[in-house]
Amino acid sequence: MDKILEVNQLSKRYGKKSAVNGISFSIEKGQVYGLLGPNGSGKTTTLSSILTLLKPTSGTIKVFGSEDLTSALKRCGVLLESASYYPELSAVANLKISCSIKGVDYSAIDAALERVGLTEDKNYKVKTFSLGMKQRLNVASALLNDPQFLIFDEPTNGLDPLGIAEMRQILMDLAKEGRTILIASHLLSEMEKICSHVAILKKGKIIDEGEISQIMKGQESLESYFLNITA
Amino acid sequence: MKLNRILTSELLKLPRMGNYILLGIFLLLNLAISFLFFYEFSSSDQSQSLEDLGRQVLTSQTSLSSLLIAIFTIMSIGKEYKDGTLRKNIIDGYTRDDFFVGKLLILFLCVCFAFLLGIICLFIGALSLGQLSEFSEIITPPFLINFFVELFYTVLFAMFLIYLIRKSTMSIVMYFLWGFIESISVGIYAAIYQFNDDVDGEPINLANYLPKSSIDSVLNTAATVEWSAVLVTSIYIVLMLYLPYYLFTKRDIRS
Repeated sequence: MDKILEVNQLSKRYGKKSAVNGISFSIEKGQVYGLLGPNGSGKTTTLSSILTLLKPTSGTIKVFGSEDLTSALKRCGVLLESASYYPELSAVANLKISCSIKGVDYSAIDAALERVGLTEDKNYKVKTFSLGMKQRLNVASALLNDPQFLIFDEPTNGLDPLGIAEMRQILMDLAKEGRTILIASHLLSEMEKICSHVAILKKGKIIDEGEISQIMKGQESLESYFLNITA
Repeated sequence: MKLNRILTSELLKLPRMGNYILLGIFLLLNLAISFLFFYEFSSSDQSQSLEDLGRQVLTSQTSLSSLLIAIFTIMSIGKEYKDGTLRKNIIDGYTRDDFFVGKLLILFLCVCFAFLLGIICLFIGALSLGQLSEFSEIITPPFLINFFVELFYTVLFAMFLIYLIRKSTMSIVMYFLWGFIESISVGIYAAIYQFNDDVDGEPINLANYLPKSSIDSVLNTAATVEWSAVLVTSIYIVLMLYLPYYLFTKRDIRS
């Protein structure tokens, strides 16, 4: 199968402290891959390294078989934990900036806004949006280039129950479309429903990895397994 | 094509309330300077020389415009850090070089815009007070070069501070503090020289050798300045172009 992401012996150190310590994993086309782990386990560091925000101390990362991550990222859709947008600009203006950077035609904006239900609010300044709306705007931005590989970091953080339900639906729809998804989240029940594969991180190392059905064998739930293994 | 896309995205980021307020302040104060100096000159019965008028206008306009353009530079980059949009730009596909070039390009355009607006404000003041001939006398090539180069160097210095500190407020405080420390240093040096009988010869102009003051000092004393001061200033210009780039491209972008 086509490998969409290959992480090989990735390490990131801050002085003497090791945030990620020689982790390796790969994601194949069509997989929904969950990165699980307690706070400080290295999930965000791993994602930030893939996204070129952090420079790894050692190790290699390939996206779509290429180590030129900047070019590869233009074919990906990314949603970060903290919503990132220009608060004083409208939703449309924010998406125009993303289009300019990605090299995507502005005509993609309406479809992306329609998909996340923000069409009516598209001309309002983003600072007037609720957290859920801001997160949906970020999803719209991630979908502008119709990406086949999506990277989501804690997409439901800070959302109310309605926002979580909306985000879950969006994630499930994207997974059903056969897109490859890498997702880091604390919501284990959601991950159990969505993911085909998971890796569990603890103190910067992968302590278990594989198909979720294998990992869950003999377990009551992903949550109970996770609590046992990370305790 | 790539530069076009970078410039388009940078232009899309400009319409912010803070920028409109800065533009309004810039226009008001530049017009005030223009009216004030031309009015003073017209009512002084020609006791003031045109050379003095030109120097006063240049000093006031350059100081004010530099301060505002420094604040604009720091705010425009600082907000990208604060709002997380720098991370967003990078994950959308900007390289760090793209982001740096985009900011440099838009800030260069803003310097050109501020330069033109400053001259237009002077023209409006002169026109309103019937001093067009005086206006054409003081707007000499050295005046224009001095004004433009100082604005551009201020942008580079402000970029250095914001890429070093990565926080707008701290960078603006540092901008003022740096200027204050340099002024104090020049003052202390002059005082030591004046009261020390053991020191012979002409004192050097310390301002020529300090990062923030050197460009201003060298431009204002261009006729008499030493070659070593010009060399030091040139080195500062290269450093102020390279250091922000180095700081930005070599460091992690954390949330």
